Amino acid sequence: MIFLKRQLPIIIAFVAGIMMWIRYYIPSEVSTNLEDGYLEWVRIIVGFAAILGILSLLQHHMLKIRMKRPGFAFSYVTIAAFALMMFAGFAPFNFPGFAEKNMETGSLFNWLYEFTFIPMQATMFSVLAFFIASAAFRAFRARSMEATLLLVAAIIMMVGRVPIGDLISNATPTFMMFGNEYHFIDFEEWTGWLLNVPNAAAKRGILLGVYLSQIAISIRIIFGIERTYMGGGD
Amino acid sequence: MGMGKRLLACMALLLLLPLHAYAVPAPADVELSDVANDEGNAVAISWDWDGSPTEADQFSVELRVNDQLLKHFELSQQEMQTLTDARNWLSGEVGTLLDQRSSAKAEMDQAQSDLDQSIIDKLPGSEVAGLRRTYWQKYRVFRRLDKQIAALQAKFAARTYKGEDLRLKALTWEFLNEAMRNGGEWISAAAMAPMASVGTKGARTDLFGVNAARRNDAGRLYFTVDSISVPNPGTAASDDSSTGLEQFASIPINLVPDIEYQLRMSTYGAAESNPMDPAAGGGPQLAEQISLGTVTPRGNAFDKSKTNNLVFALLFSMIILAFIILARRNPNMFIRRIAGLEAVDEAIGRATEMGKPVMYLTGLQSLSELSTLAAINILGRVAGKIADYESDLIVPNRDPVVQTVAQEVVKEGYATAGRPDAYREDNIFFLTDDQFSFTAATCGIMMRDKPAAIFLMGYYYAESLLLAETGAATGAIQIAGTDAEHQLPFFIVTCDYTLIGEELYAASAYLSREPMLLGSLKGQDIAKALMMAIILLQAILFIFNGEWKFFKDMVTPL
Repeated sequence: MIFLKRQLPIIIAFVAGIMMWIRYYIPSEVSTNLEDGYLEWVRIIVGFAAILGILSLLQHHMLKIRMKRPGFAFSYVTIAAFALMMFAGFAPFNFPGFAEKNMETGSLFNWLYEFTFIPMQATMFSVLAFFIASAAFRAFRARSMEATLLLVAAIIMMVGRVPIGDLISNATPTFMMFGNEYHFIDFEEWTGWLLNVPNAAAKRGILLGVYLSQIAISIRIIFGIERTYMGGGD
Repeated sequence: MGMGKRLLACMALLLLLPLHAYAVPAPADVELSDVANDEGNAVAISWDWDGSPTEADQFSVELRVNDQLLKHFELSQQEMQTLTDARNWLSGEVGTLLDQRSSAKAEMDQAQSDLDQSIIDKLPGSEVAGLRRTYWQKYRVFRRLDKQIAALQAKFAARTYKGEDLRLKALTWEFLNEAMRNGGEWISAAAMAPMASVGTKGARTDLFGVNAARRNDAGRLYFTVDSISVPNPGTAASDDSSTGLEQFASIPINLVPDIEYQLRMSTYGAAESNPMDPAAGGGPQLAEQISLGTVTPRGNAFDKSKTNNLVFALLFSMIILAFIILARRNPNMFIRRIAGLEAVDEAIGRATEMGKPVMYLTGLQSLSELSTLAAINILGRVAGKIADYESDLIVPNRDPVVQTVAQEVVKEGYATAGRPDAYREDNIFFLTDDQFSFTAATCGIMMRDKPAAIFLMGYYYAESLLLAETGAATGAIQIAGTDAEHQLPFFIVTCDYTLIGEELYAASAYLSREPMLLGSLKGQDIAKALMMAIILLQAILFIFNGEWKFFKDMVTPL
């Protein structure tokens, strides 16, 4: 049992990891096919896992209803919506007034998706604007030197990205320097600098760290040093 | 079987991967060359076409493998009609606008030139301001016309390009480019632009036909064509010497090893239809055929363009492995303090004191992504601590595979902490794989259950702020960790602690304090220092106009 639970997964992780690594450098048909094969396996496993997911979802909500946990009424909605969509998609007959095939455009399934699911999804996304406003309000309070810098940078970015920024810049007097003409206030230039110099530098620094960390964690996993993801800690 | 023997067996398996060598040269009139290609087996085929097309000529390219015609690119009559109609429509709509835009541009340029001159001549400020106003007026007129034309272009494309017909799409855009490049003349005077040729892969003009052959089907060639466009050299009234077939002179295609490929190009002249004999209808008539040659490629054993990558990977792996070995000898390695991870105990303790659960999210990606794996690793460590503190742990999931693994990891964490009875499988559940549905459901749980501590680990997209802001509204202590650099500001603003980028990957090692894991962190830092030194050196060389090609080549593709 220990072998099946501990050593075999480590061996599989090692062989698969090293194989995929070597495959990256060998552009032959066999190596491409090998990768294709692996990806197919992944798809098959994910397909089975979807069933587990559905079972987990139903089990979770059933239990919630049975135990009458807070918000259990929503579980009724979830299960009803789930059943309705399943029925609309797999019903062995056509729904009057809808397309002939149950999954195609114009079908009840499609109608439910387009006129309930997508609007709800869009609503959720559009709420983001208000959340950004509230988060920005908190972040831009000039409580410290760093927060003040953030506030100033944010104001420049916001003004620089709207048409009035251009108008303000063009209304200010100009001066010549090194043969070029500059505006005293030039939001476009400033936003460009903010994005391309400090922002890009910080982002690249973070990304460099992330990529190196990813290589390190891959090595740890391939060589079986990191095993937490298999359960059982060290 | 010992570990060493198992490793040897694994290595032997790896050696079974067949390795191939490179491609074969071809007839003298056709140039063949190897092209480094991610999928491998690419051969560049260049030819010099000396045909002399007329306005009515149409072009097509045929690709044959062992005399089997694979693809003959040609516009159907219906497609040609669609394009002609759309073009006629555009000619009527856009002709005047193009003229107006040309004159508006001339006026704008003149205004700019006057303004520049006034600055050079140091004219009074009021005059300069007047000229500047004039320039901006002209600029706005030009931009307005430009936008109108762009809108018409979009309409034209929408009328012409329907569905997934890449040929028509490519031709539509080619036609538009030509039309815009040559102003109204092309639209009013030119005949229908002929089609066709083969396209290239993405931005790589030297790559064509990119789909690798599928499994167990080595006898057949599969390839994709991204675009097809050949403007008619006979009618393109442009000085651009690349207009015409010459611009497609290099067509690498993706080949299956050991199969002979024959390629030929044909040109077709469009014959008038004969009204007296409907059977002898008009349409493309073969005018000229050019054999491009044959080629039998052999697969690549090693992609040389990735040598630097390999060198770096080996070097980096060696550094990390060396530090892991060092860590076993000296377990007391110094790792800097990470505030977000120091706060884990505080967060869980708070949840225990308040008698409320801890919520843990593993991000929105699948288990094949390393950030999710890192989040799962941290979950394992955190679950043990939560079991110690006897708190509840809620883990909503977006991916059923992640959910299954998370269940296993948490279960094991509880068991390791000696509290297997406290583990509740039902608390680690799947919600939905839709991004915003998952967000809505998770936010709902946050509002109802009011967790005392929320961990947001892994990769997040636009929902990051929705989740973190809702968590902040419930008053929970929040610890986030992500390598999604675009979402970091949102977490920093709304969470109490944020693990930035690499800290997410270091967290598991940090929390476990396991010498071997800490050793790999140390090795990673050394590799980072090395990279920084290389970048700094390259930057200095760049500033002083020098170049160390080795470094440049080493860093650029990474």
